[in-house]
Amino acid sequence: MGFLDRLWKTISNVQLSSRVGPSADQENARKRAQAIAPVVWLLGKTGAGKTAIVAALTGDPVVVGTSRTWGPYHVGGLRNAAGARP
Amino acid sequence: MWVASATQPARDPDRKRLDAFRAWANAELARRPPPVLLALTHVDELRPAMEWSPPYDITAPVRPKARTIRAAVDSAARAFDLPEDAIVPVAMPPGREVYNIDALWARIAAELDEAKLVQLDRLRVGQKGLSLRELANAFGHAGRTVIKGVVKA
Repeated sequence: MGFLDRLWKTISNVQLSSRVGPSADQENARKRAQAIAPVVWLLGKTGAGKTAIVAALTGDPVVVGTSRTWGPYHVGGLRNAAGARP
Repeated sequence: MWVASATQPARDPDRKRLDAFRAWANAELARRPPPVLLALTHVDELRPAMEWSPPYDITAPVRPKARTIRAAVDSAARAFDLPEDAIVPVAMPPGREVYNIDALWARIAAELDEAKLVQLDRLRVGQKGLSLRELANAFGHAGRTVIKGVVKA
């Protein structure tokens, strides 16, 4: 599956899960936090632990970011509600 | 944040990518190059692999595990051409508590500018007391990161 296909699938999954997921308050808090949040890029080889770090740092299993493949590397950390990786 | 496993000895591919990233960042004249930190993962798997009872003092390591973690940090500093205080050893063993992720968070905070820190501190619900910057300092003193004047006043 190509990168764009995977990205699209991930976005669809997250949108779908957010419809039944967080309450309006949680969603507001998330938006507020995202508005001022610093951007941290995670770079590293496959299996280095990027996804685990994103989950551990944010305490949030639903973290949406951007990701792209850079040679054998993935840039960014992304994990959706279904646990799929882009 | 560069993420690399402490148990992976081959550093050349990482170093090449990091150098490419540095070259790209330095060529972006309109922006300040982003600070680079290294999260050194899987330190729980370093020798002696059976020993895992954190926290470990890596600034004055006594226990064998603390010594190998410190050696891994020193080695990564040379391999990645990074100062030791830019490297935070972490572990996320499956089914067990994560190690030093709080220090990693505090280390990221130490790179943020004052305004952003104030905003983030305001958002940290229910965590009164130390600011993120003070936390970064505290982790250095506890020997969980190597702090060399990194915490900006």
